[in-house]
Amino acid sequence: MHATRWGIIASGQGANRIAFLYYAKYRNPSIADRVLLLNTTPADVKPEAPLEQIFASEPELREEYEKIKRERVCIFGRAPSGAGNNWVLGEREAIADYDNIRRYIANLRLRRSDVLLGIATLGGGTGNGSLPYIIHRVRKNPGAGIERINNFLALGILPYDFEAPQRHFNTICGLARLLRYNGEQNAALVILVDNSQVERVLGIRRGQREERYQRINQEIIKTIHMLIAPSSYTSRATIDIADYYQLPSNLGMIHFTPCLSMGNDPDVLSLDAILESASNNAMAPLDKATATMAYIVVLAPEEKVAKGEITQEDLEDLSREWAARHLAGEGILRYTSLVASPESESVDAMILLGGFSLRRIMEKSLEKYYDFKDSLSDSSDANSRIELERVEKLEKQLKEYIALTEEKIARLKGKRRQMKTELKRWGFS
Amino acid sequence: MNEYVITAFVVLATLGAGLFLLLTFGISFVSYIAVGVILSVLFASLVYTWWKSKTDKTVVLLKIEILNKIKSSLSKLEENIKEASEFIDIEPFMRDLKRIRNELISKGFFTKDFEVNERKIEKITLTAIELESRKVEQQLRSLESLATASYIEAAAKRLGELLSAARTLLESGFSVKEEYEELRRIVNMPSASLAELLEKRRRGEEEYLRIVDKCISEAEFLLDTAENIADVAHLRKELEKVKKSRHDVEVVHRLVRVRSEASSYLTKPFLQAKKEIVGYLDKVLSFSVGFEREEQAIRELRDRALGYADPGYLAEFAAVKEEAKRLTLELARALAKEIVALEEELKELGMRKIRRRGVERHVSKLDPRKEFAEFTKEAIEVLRTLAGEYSTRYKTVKIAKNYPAIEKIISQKLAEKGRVSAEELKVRYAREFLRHYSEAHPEVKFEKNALILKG
Repeated sequence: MHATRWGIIASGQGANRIAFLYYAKYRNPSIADRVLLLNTTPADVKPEAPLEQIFASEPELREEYEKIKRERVCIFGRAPSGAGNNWVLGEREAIADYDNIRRYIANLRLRRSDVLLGIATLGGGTGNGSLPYIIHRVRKNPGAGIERINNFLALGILPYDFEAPQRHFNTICGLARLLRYNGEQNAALVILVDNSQVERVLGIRRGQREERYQRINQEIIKTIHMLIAPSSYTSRATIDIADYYQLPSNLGMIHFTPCLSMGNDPDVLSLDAILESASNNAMAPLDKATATMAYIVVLAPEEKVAKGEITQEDLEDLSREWAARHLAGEGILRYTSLVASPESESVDAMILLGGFSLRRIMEKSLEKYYDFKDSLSDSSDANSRIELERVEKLEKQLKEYIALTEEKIARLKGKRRQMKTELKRWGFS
Repeated sequence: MNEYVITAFVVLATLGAGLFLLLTFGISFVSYIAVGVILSVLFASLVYTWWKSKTDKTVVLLKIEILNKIKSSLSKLEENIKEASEFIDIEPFMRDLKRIRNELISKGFFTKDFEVNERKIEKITLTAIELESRKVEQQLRSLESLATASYIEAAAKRLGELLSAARTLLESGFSVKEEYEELRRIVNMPSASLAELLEKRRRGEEEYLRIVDKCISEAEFLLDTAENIADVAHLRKELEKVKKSRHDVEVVHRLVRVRSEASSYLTKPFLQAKKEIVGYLDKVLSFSVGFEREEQAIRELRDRALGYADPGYLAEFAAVKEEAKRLTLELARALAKEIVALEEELKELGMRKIRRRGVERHVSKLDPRKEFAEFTKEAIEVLRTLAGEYSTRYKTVKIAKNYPAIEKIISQKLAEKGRVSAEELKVRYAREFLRHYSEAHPEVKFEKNALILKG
């Protein structure tokens, strides 16, 4: 059995920080050096500027950066001041300079069966603007030197609740474009992580704001690690990457959010308690009773797995019971994977909840979205202009997606079928 | 011969050249050249003579070396054949060797005392000596082959007997497994030449003697122990006979009889000793949970003790007891080390109430020089104390380290349902976590008997 090969394309400052930290710290053989950092930094600023914050606390990582910067850091576009929080500009720069980006992607030497994870913060301009376009191009028409890669997942990071209206406006436009682009499904899967929600889960208080970014990034890095873990050699029931997106695509719901419970002591917490704990730590605001899909990944010490103290079968049973307790109508899709980790002494669990109601996410951004949208004017520079017509189109697209999701949730939560009647309809007396 | 021809040629050439020069340039010029030529020839002659004598010496040395080699091969084969005399008739071989020796003397290679005849070999060419050497080597090789063929069967028979006798001793219960395996390895060693066969036989005999000696010691131990229970004088006499004929494979039956009869008197003490050791190791095992390496070693020792099936193994128990003491000490040290590490963790967790009690003093109470019974009595007490302290601290650390995560789970459950029971929590030490939570959150009510938190 071969482990699935992964690659990461991170666009924008925030995403650059996350992807670089993941690359430097985890050294995951499934990723190797297939990490690409994209940015539209102005010409007079060093490309490593977004990472200076990391180097300040961990100087040894600068050396790692130096090793990869020539082939793995791509500065694209010609705007003198970056995308400036304007996703339209970020997208236009990516379109205009795609040939440059393409060369860097080709340099990752990806194969058709490989998986790409695109990362962007949805409140910004560069990543939010460029990533949906890049996903669209790579999946449909990647250009010379790159094979078409369908397995292109997206990790979108939602802004803090308190952030300015334009960032929430960007978020809704970005989310719509990650889900659908030019009228077609775009990313194979969209994983959402909300900064404020992660902060709440971690219990970060006001006085700790200095380290907030670092801690939130750490959580996102853990998510990436858990996402990739089932593809590894030590997985007891490998979730093939196709499982991550084939069926959700068929169901028309491709949004997910991770729920993490890390560093659990297997001598104290039962697997059941660990799953419960994870499900209370959703990384985006949601009503988990509306979730319709769940991928459960548990990373356990190899020794415990080898001794049979933690088994795939037990995990399957517990997952079933857990889904019955928490998912809408027990859910329509569920995968479970136990991964034996030789390095770990604790049990880490991730539940990737999917197909849930986007209501709480929309609630936090919608008002600010309208505040910004209603103030848009047609008098700005043509190159950076956000066209109202396009925004309306994206809004319509997102509404359709939400309506479909809500309908499926309602159907699942609604009355169960009368099996006696159903069996009669199938010809059983 | 060649030297004379060359000299004559040079003289004639010189006279010819002189005559030619005399006719062409006249007497005065030629006399200078003649003196020069004479001096050059004299010098060349000196150089040639020196070189020639040196070469001659090297050739003589070479001849001596070849002849010494012949002498050494002859002597070695003679020695080997004499050593093999136990199993083969060496007379014809010795006769042939003598013939070869006499021939070499008669040809002038050696003196009557069979020393290299340096004076005579000067006249014999190197090629002739080399030819003689090859001839002798061939003769020796065929003699050795004949001797090997005669010896091999007898040697194999003897080694087979030794191995079979050793197996009998092993199977009768003597602790000679390692030695038996070594003997088997020696017997199976490849051996093509007579020298190799002799070496194999020598080593086989030595190893067999080692086995018999070890068995004698074991039998003596059994007789010493059995002497207090029964009259074993006749068995001692048997053992004396064995000591006198250690090489004889027949003595193994006497040894087996001594062991068997002595063992029959020792059934009761054997069973008692076995029960004592296995019982003790069972107790030690109960304190080793969580210490895999130590647990494994103790379990193996217990299995070893259980594997001794008859009283003849009584002697082995002394070693088992010593090993049991050593493993006890190892476990006690491991427990103490873990207790210290857990105390450090508790300190880091800010739990100052837990004070270090100097666990090392418990370990130092254990003195392996004491008698087994006394040692085990103290050891059980020490292990019980250490295991108790370890268990308490382990639990405290686990609770302290996991409380933040469990606290969150409890809070979430209380927020959802207003109550949480130990059963719902699905964690180890649920009672302690609930109690701890109620202490940290006075607003909630802890029903101790039902193990339910409400709030």
